[in-house]
Amino acid sequence: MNHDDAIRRLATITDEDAARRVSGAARAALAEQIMATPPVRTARRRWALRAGAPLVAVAAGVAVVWAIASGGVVHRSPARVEPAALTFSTSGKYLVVKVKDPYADPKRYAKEFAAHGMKIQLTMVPASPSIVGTVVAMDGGEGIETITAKGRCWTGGGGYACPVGVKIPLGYHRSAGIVFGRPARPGEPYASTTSAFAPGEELHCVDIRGRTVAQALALLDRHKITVALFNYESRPGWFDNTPDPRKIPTSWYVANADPYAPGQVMLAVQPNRPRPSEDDTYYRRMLKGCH
Amino acid sequence: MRPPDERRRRFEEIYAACHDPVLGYLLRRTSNGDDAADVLAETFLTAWRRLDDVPVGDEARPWLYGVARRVLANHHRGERRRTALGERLRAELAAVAPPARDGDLAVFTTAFRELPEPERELLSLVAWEGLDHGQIATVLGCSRNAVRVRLHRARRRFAAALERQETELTTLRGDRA
Repeated sequence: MNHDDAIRRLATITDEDAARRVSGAARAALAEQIMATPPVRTARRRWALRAGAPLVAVAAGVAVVWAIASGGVVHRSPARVEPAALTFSTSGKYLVVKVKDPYADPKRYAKEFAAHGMKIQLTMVPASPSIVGTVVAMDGGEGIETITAKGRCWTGGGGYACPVGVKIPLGYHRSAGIVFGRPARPGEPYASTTSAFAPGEELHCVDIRGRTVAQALALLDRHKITVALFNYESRPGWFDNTPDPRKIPTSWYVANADPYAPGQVMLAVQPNRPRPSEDDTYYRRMLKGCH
Repeated sequence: MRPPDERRRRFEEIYAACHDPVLGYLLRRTSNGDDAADVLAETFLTAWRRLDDVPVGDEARPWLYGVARRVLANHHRGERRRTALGERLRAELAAVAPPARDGDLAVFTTAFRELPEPERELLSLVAWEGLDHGQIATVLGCSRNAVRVRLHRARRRFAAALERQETELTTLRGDRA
């Protein structure tokens, strides 16, 4: 038995069975109850009303945003006294937290948040170029909103939302983890990536999907990009990675590519020519303007 | 205040398409009907409040799984937010005992339980929810690349755990002989 099949059989209940356990009346009642609640969180509105009062709360919330000029690796000399890793300032109804040093020890962020009475665990992970400065993951954080810059980047999950910051309600005392993408150091593998074909990524407008491995390698060579890993199905339902190009027949096809590290990509390859992708519109929009 | 019809329509659409999948997701991960009802209510409440953040089309389902996953984790951490929503649902779901698993699968069950939760969840999202790498990335809030690499690791661990289980069984049988 294939492992996926075995795991499938471990499921205690199917969606159809789950559906049968709930009556139409209960289902409709829940939807109505939810739609009867105000669409805007009440707690936030309370703060907004108070925003005019002096001192009580200048801020209606805390916005954590990225403030690094794009690109460059920050070099720090260990002897110097380190400046703050974060800066806190107010803007309108918000207390704005900007990340000054994306390479700082996460403990320093935690300490600086703690000094403002917040239990926020901020982490920076190496990210592929176009999602540097975006929120790549959140842990917990119920009640925290994301600030989006729709259309400014293509996020890994396949959306266009491009979360560039978060809004934390003032007086938020629960702990939450926020992970931002930072630039990778030379040779450092990305911990978070979006499609290698997204604008701002190294393979934007170098669409090697559907090409043979031989053709793709030649094209990549011309763009000074190397393949760190090939991802392929070694037996049914079982995917393996190999850095060794000799294991991959050059007549195979490239199904997709992901950023791996600066100047390096990971190729998903297969023996058969890939079928036109089901997320065709996604790529069409992403590759708009490419020839 | 009655919300604009546009909002209602959009929410109703998401609710109709995703109610059963989200309920199925929850009942496969908790045998507690109360928990499932509360988390279902809170998940769709989040969708209602953050309607503009819910991706359109087929991507709504993995997004909702992601919310459900976080709310369920909070429940397990003891941060229960008993809501007044979904009283009827709770009553209906509380009544049923969890179904028994297929007995032949004991070895698989044990091997599967041995895996750390994040890896079990990855394998489940593939096998139970039928998601692809991109959709799993939406659920977990990480990149497709990370999903591919982690999934590979999880599969390898599952195979190793399975092998261990089978060796133990063989040894036991050998002892008896």
